[in-house]
Formats: sequence, C-alpha cells, structure tokens
Amino acid sequence: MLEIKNLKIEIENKEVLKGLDLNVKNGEIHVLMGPNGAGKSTICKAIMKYPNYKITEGTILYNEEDITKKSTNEIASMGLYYISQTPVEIEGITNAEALRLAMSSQKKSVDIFTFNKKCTLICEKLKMPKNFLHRPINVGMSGGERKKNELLGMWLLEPSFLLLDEIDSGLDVDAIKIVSENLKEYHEQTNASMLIITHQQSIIDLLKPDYVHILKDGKIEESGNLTLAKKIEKEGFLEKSRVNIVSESGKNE
Amino acid sequence: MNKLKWNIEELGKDKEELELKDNTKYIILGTRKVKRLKIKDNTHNIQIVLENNSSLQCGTTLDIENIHLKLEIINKENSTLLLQLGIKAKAKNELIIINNLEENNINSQIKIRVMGEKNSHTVLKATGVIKENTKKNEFLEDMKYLSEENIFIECLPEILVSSKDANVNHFLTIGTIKESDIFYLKSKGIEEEKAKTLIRECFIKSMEIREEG
Repeated sequence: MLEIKNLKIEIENKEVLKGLDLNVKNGEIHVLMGPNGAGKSTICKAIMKYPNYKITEGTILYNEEDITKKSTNEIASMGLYYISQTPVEIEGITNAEALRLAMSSQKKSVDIFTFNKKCTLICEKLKMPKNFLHRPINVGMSGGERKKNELLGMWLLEPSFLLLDEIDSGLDVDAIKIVSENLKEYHEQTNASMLIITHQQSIIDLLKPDYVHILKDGKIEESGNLTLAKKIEKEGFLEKSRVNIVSESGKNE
Repeated sequence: MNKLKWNIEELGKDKEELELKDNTKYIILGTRKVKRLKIKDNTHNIQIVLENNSSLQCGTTLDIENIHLKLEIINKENSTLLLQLGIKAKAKNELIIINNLEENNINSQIKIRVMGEKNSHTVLKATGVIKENTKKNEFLEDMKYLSEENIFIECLPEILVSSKDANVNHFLTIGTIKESDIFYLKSKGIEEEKAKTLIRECFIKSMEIREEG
C-alpha cells in the first residue's frame, strides 16, 4: 500500500530525514514514536508534499504507483488523508464549502440532500453540533473541535490511508475517547491503513497497532509491536539512548 | 460654495436590497437589515443617518468598477450600526467612508474586506469621528486587504477622537493568500487554482450576513 524507500528530506538546507524505510500494507495500523525533533511530523508532511520540504533521495510508492513527484491534491485524490497536529484556521471559508468542493474534486457525489443527511449522522457520531459545518474552517475552535472537524472530513471523503500527526494533542479526556473511537470504527468499516504519530497510550490501546516504530535522528531505529510502545511508556526515550551508549562503549559508566 | 442638495429617502422595513443613488440621504428609523447593496453608476455622494434608537445591519458583497464615492454616516443617540462590506474591485476606484458618532451610547462597527482584480487600483479612505462631549460610544473599524501581484490597494485609515469617554478599536491587515491555507485545501484533494479561487471568493463573502442555523 504505502512503501517508503530510503527517503531523505531537506528543510531549509537541513537534512531532517536521513534514509527512511517504511512499508505499510493494506489495512495495517502503524504507530510512530520518537523524541522531539526526530522527524516524525516531517514524514507525514513529506508524503503530502508540504511546501519547501525537499525530497533529495528515495521514493514513496502508494498502491505501487510512484507519488514522489505528484502534487498534494493528486495524492489526496488517491486516498491519502492527512490530519496535522494543529489544523489551520481559514477565515471566510466554511467547512461545508471546503468539503463539498473537496468531494467534487475527488469525484464524489455532492448532492446537497445526501450531503446534509450524511453530515447530520457524522456530527452525531463525533458529538459535535451540526452548525460547525457552517462555521469558518477551525476559526475560534478548540483543539478537540479542530480534530473532530478533520474527522468529519475523513468520514465524508472516505480515504483509504490516514496520516495522523499527534491527533491527541490539545484534546481533553472525553475528546480523546471520541476521536479514538471514531478512528477505530472507521478502520473497522473501511479497513483503511493508518500511520499514527502518537505517544498517547489510550489511543494505542484502543487501536491496537500492528507495528510500532521508534524514529530517531531521521531514521527508524527500532520496530516492534505493542510491547515496544509499552516499553517506551515505561522507560522513555532517554533511558533507551543511555542503554545504547552503554552498549556501544561496551562498559558501564 | 455650493451646498449639496440631498434627496431624502427613508429606508423601508422590507428593504433587504438597496441600490444606492447619487446625492441621496437614507434615513434609518427603527431596526433595518440590508443583505444586498448595489451602487448605481455615477454615484458620488451618499449619506446614511441613523436616527435615535435606530439600528442598521448591512452585510453584503459589493462589486465596484470605476467608482468614486463618498459615503458619510451619521450615528445619533443610542443607535447601532454594523456595516460589513466585501468589496471586489475592478479598474480604478476611490471610496471615502466617514463615520460620525455625534451623540451618546452609540455602537458603530465597520468591517471591510477588499480584493482587487488584476491591474485594478483602489483607494479607500476610512475616517472615524467621535465628537467632543459624547459619552459611552463604541467604535470599531476592521479592515483587511488581500494583496496579490499587479493589484494596487491603498488604505488611509484615520480616527479622530475628541471624546474622553469612548472605546475605540482599529484593525488593519494586509495579507496574501497563505501557503498553509492552500496546502490545507490541496490536502483535501482540491486543485491549487480552485483552492485560490475559493479563498478569494470566501474572503469577500465572509462579510455577508448569514442567518443562524
């Protein structure tokens, strides 16, 4: 489904990803963890062609098609859906306006009656008022409201691959529960694949990822399963680095 | 000096659409809501008078082309004004808006968004005047311009406050279409040109009064 080979990314002449390899198969959930500055967010943004993120080497394949040189909207239309850590506010454009245009761009039916009916059901599922649809995109919304807003787009656009960058950031306990339950339900209904950047154990516990990866210094340092996430929760990244330093030098400090 | 002779028109209650005519003084009595505004060609002078205890809510998009207009607003005792204009300018235009707060307990808000077509040239002079010895007045002027290549927009804001008891706010923003906004829309599958068009149209349309729900 999504295959990243030896990906190197430069941002403002600084190499952030230094040869990343990752393979996410159809229906799989992968969690990406790592210390601050490791390059986690860069991966999602690079896949989606964020402006000024320069791919210097490597390839990104989606369903065996090379998307390395495709534009953001082409990639989205192929079924990839990105939710950033802090979704932007856009004054003037309502969610409904953007989503209907997005649906028509992705050749999905935008008949107003069906759209409204669908939105009513999704808003109930996300426990958000229906008038959010007619509010400008994320303007004046809390962290939780923004993430729900983005999930509204997910349910409408029905992507086959989700790129979720710290979907839990800025969310209270109740919002985390709603968001993670929606993601679980979406995965069960569509078998969509997911690449999730999170350190939130409750999301990991509910979604039960197939793989957990630790990113460090622009490369995947270690891959494993749920046990690895539990270990990181218990020991942290610092502890792991210390152990490595000790083992590299061959003796204890 | 020749004194301007005004045509006087009382703005009717059912007048949700209004075509502004030259040398006309529009009198507001009671509560009025205008959802659509047009300017007749060769219109140069307009006056809107909000009488005591009256209220005018006007939120509309406005297409202008070769307009040279002076709009003067007189706010009287206990009046409320919300004027929101989303201006799409073509060719060469000059708009002068003078907003006078003449008495007390007035809440007067003007919000303007301006966007020009390629090679257009628009000058907007917005002046707020809060008269001496007036009390408890609220004044807001909030202006945003969308700046793009080959579009010239000149803004000359001025606020003259002679009262010691007034709450006056002024905001002016000149900006371009943000890369992050385009990226957001593109990440939903919208082509770049369509995303830019949507941003431009909605920037102007955001001034329309939308009914709740």
